[in-house]
Amino acid sequence: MAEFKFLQGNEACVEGAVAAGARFFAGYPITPSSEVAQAASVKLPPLGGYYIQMEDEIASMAAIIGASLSGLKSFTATSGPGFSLMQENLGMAIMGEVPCVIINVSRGGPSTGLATKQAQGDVMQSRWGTHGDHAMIVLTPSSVQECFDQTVRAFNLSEKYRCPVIVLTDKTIGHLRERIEVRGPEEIEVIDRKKPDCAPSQYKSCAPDDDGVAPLPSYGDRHLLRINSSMHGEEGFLNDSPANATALVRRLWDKIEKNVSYIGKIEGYRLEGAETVIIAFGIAARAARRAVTLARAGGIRVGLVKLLTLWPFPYAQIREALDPNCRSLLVAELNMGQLVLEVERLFKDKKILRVNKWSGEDILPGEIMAALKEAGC
Amino acid sequence: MVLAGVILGEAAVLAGKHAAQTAAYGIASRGGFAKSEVVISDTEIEYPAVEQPDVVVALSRSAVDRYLGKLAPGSLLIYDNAIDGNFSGDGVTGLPLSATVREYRKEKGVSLPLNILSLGVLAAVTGAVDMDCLAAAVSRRFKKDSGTNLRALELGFALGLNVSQRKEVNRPGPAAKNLPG
Repeated sequence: MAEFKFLQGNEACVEGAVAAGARFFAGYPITPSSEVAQAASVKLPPLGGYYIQMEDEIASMAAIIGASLSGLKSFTATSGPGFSLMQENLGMAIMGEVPCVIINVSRGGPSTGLATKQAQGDVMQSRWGTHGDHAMIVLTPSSVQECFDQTVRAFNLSEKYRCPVIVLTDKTIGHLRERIEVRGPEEIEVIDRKKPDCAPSQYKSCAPDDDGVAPLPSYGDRHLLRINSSMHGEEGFLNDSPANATALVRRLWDKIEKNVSYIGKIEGYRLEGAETVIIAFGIAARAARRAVTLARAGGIRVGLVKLLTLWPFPYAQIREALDPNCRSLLVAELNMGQLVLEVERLFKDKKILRVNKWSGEDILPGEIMAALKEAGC
Repeated sequence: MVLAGVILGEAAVLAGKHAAQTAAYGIASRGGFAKSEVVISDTEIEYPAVEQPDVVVALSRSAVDRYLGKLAPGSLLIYDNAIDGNFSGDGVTGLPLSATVREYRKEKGVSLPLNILSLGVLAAVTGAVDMDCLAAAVSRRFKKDSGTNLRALELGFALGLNVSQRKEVNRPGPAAKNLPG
């Protein structure tokens, strides 16, 4: 049965993780994500789970990769500077096809930047922070309820596609407290990784089924699991042939990018007849929503597309949601302009407007209103 | 102050309302400006931070300076009258907040928490949440140490009744069946 709680976004991420079946957390506390670690340390042990405070973020990623391959759904949490350190092993999780979840509560950067202040500067780090061609799933809650819901979805997607998934929140959403409905287990869809159903002698760690994803046993099972961060063949052994490299990088890309219709998620608000549509995620989407309500009350034809999936970029869903009258898109984000680059690339037929702020403060509804008026909306 | 905002939000949820609480503070663990903002509504909250406050309780000079003369007409600024300076204007009221704490300590030898006292003031002035829900939220938070906090809440409520202007921001609704954990 559902229950109402007054929780912080960071706490709701842990509630969501536990509801999705996570039983292992390893991390190195950092503002503004520390409450995730704190809540995990309280919640997991009584459930028979594990909480480990690691020596740094590199080790944190390594630990959740190992735990996941041993059969436990695992996650970590960090913020910008720690997220930078995680990039090396994040690549390992992509190449090794390891399900795991990283909660990145972004703050002002670069470097240690603004420890207690707000930013959405990790749009590109979350997409391209680790090297090489790769796809990445990044989910972006904009309320405490969505912190819960999107963390559940992050675990489900990571299990379904055997890949790391990032939940990208921000300082304001992470520390925001709101009323949320914590649903009971019977009301939550939980997806578990595919296990091999063939004989152990027939099993190949990296041989995909038709969906591009290979079944995943746990270390210690009868099926022998080989994980290799270098280019590898279906049995997990090194294979640096040009044909194999071409095929493997393509498969890892396609298993995400060809499923955008399932992974991508947006929410539209007042899109009917909207000549200008704001595209935003996280806390900026909350300010945008308020601005849309105020603008509509004043007769301005504005709508909002809130991104619940930031990457892979849900282009088709956005295109479909726009009213035929839509002439311009306004991208509101707490950085110098990162998401807007993707929007400009894909919507060449629209006029693109920007609202950017990187002072450590949130974008206010009035600032978006002012930008709309300045643009003649 | 951050905790006071959290408890106010919890009380609002106990009363069946929507609530959102945000805080801002610096990198120092003590000292410096800190604020806790709470939005309470009968309907879903679009933007969770305070755009234009209905009521501000200021416990430091820097807090008074931040809001004095900048509030919308009809809004209230209640400040601790132990703060140096003469402040005046529509809706500006000084109350003996820390003086009450000081007198109580002299009389009973017990230190009342100033933040919870301020919550009592807010409850009396705004009616945003009723005292039963606030008391329940305080009791759930402090458990066996609730006594002093509940006393602070009552004394704050009594002080708030002395404020001549009221700001009825949100009348209490029916109590929720599910309580926050």
